[in-house]
Amino acid sequence: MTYAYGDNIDTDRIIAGKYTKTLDFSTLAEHVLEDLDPTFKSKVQKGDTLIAGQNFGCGSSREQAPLAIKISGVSLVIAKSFARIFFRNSINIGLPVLEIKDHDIESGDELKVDLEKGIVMNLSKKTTHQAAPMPKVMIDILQEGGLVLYLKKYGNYQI
Amino acid sequence: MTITEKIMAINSGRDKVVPGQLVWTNIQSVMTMDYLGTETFKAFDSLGKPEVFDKERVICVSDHLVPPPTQAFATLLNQWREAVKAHDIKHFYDLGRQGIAHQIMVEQGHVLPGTLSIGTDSHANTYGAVGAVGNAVSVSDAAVAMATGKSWFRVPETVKFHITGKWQPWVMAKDLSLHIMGMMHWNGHLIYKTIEFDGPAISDLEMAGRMTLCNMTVDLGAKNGIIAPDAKTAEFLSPVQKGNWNYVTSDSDAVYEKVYEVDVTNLVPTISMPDKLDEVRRVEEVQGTKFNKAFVGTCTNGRLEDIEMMARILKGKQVHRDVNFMLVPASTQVYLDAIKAGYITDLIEAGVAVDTPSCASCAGIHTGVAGDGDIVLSAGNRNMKGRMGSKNAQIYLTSPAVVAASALTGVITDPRSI
Repeated sequence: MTYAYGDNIDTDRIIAGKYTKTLDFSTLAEHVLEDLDPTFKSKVQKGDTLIAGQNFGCGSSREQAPLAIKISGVSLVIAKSFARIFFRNSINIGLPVLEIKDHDIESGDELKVDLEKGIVMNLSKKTTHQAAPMPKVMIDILQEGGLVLYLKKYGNYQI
Repeated sequence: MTITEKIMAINSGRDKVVPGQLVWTNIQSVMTMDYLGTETFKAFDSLGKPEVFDKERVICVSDHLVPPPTQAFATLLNQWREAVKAHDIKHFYDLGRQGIAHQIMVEQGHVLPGTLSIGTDSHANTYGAVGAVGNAVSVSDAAVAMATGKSWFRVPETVKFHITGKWQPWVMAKDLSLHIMGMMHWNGHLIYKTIEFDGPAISDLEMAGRMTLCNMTVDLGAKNGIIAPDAKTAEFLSPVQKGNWNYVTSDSDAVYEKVYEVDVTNLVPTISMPDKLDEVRRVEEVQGTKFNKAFVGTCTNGRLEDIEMMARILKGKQVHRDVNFMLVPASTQVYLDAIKAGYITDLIEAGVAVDTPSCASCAGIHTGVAGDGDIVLSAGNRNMKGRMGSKNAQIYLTSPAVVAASALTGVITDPRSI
């Protein structure tokens, strides 16, 4: 399932500051996106895709924002653009993110995604989108489940 | 190369870098604070390294949670203090010596021109005021940098704002920040970019104003904001700097993605409307709007110069009876300097409540949070719904001069009119 929201969704609307004093997973999952869409946490399922417009994840540098989304079950976020700290944090905690400048994806659209190639087919609208290419090191970090796990495995960055 | 490109090249051992390139650079200082620090140390511990890369260059600050207003915060602070102690961190700015982390990092000389520093809070962009690359990260990046002394970056494209003209009375760096916000909007133009400020009106700014300007570049979407070091930078740093540094500036043939010009001669007191940082007006357009809470503080506008501006407006006068006004200085040093200068006495006599340094209500979790129905006039940096507490509160963002002038009348007031 895909859930689409608008532009400039800030980290407080992803997970409010008052819930982010810890990385406690149950608290994060309980309150994810609650101000933006109070029904989200009850309808989201494992493997769902979150869609957004411009500047998704602006505001705080809290890593709990992408973490809350990941814990909710969402396996991919597609946005027209991401706030840079959110983008970086997503990679660092192992949440796949794709930047597609002019996507046409709306709530409920059925997608087919090739993450490595960054190709997203919107089966409902019969359109295909190519995401901005991601450097290899970022894909590697994602595949290892995040930056800390990546560093534990390799001991260093491979740039 | 631009100043940011040069800093990334020098600190990654390269002769040249180009935008888009990934580099693994040395980090001067890694900052973490009470709010995310315990988790950062946990992530660091999971890497299995016995010690942080340099105990003098991992800087720990208590700012979001001190002094603890709840038992839960007190317990979190105890865990934080344990973690800092366990890692034998040399520079720990805890309650009694506290301040907002970004203020501390610059004020205490932990950030040096020509280097990169990171912090686990979004306004680490502030460090650009002294000609450093300051970058906001979170737990994972900080933990890895604590272990390795390094971090990865994508070299950003540079957008230049060339600022000319003469600053007018009652107009502050914050007005320029908000003016640029209104010019650019949140439309993605500046996301991932470096913003470089230069020009005669930037040279005229003192360090406080430069910090305000660089601080809010994160809210424009930028990766960092930077101002090349000059004689003022050297004078500011010389009593506090933790290490030597070199002047790094942009080359004359540096390539900019875009150059914008702003003449501050025409700049007027400026305000950002509730919930929409980029919906910016001249204060005179909303003059007369009622509000009930006034707030000056934060890493954006809690410095001595900001408090001086408030005192100039409020000395010998009284805050309007319908307004609750809170000042929270950005650091213990700022607080002490403001006391010595007599500003705190002036402000308390005028009816301003002054609290010990912290991030206060800015992140919606500490002193002076907003409740349902509050209309807040704030000199902070963010005004999205719920930012300062209740999502049923409205937040206007503006300069300390506008907050102080408005506090006298109880309605939004252009400081030039009083």
